[in-house]
Amino acid sequence: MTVDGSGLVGRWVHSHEEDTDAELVYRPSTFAFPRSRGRDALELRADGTFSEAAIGADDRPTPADGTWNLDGPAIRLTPNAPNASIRTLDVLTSAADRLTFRR
Amino acid sequence: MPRKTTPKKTAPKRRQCGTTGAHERLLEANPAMRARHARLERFTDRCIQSGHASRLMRQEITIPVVVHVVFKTAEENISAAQVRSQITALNRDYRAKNRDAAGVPTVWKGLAPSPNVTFVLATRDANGNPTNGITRTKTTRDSFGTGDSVKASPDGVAPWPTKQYLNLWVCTLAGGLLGYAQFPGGPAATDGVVILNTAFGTVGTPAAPFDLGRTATHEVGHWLNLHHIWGDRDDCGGTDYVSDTPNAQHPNYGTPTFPHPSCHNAPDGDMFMNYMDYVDDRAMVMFTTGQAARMNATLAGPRSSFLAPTAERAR
Repeated sequence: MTVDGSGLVGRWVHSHEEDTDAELVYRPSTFAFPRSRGRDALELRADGTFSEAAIGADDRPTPADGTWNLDGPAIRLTPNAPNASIRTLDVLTSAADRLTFRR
Repeated sequence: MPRKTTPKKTAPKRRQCGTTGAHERLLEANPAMRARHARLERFTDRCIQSGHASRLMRQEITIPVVVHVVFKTAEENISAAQVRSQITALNRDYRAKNRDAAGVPTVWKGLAPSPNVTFVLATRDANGNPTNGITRTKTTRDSFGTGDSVKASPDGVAPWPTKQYLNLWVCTLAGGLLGYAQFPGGPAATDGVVILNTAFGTVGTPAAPFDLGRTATHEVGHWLNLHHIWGDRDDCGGTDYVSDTPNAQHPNYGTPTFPHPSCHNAPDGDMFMNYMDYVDDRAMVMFTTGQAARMNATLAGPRSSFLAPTAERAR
């Protein structure tokens, strides 16, 4: 599929209740999420930077930053932390209210 | 986040691999915290290997609790009955009296001991005055984030002495977060756990599927140095520092069906019914022997003040 990078810009929060065996579902932060023990989130900015919030060991979101770009139908995340790994997220579907990645 | 990584400065490879754990990133960024963590892990290992943690587990330990209710609306000002129901729920789980433990899969039935820890609402404050173990603080905030502002004025309330009391704040948390904790060894000014008022206790305002008091069971597990069973990484390379919980890749949510394999842990799969996973309240029913030993090692070490006479006076 062709992915429109500008359509990915925004803060996406893991809607894990909607996950399937094949895909992980993210929704805009304005979505009415139910209560949860924790959710990871990813904010993709138009200037090519990102910030994410991973689920922390104490259940608090733990932030990390870096830069992102499109690599075909995938998002390539390059963290600022020197020893962190580059990650690629395969985009399966992209809409204004729903973004899915291959599990 | 989905799970393909590659080392920096090389071409991205498409492989199933994970992100560095958030906890590891924190330790990496903070050498003092890393050193404390390493010291504590060495102590915990020695305490378990020597049998001291097991001996302690045979002795009943009672922890005085103070519950700080921080509220803006009348509904958030939860009742004393709701607070007491949470203490009852903690004792049900930390003394392995929960009837739903019958749902532990046969393969792990022998692994679900009582940590033998009892929680009581404090009957004396730090000055020795009588108390019901509940404080009530009016706030102007609609909700709190995870930055600990609930633990200090003007928005919240400071803890009672954290070497004598388990401090438990109950409030409205932003974003629907159920709760968060602080591991042993952190700052005293913020030591304790924070729990969403609609996931606290078993009567009053808690709502399904988080209405059995298990959020507190989970958070107090962190306070006693337990980690998530997936080891806070998503590449099967993490650890919860406990040997009898199978390696798991991700948090499990909802009410999974047994078995749910990941991380080459078939046929039994993830121990998703463990209190330190992310499932619904009715789906989490057990600690393991290793987790109970680890909690007791914590009570022999960084939380040993709860074995001392200072804690005795709070009961």
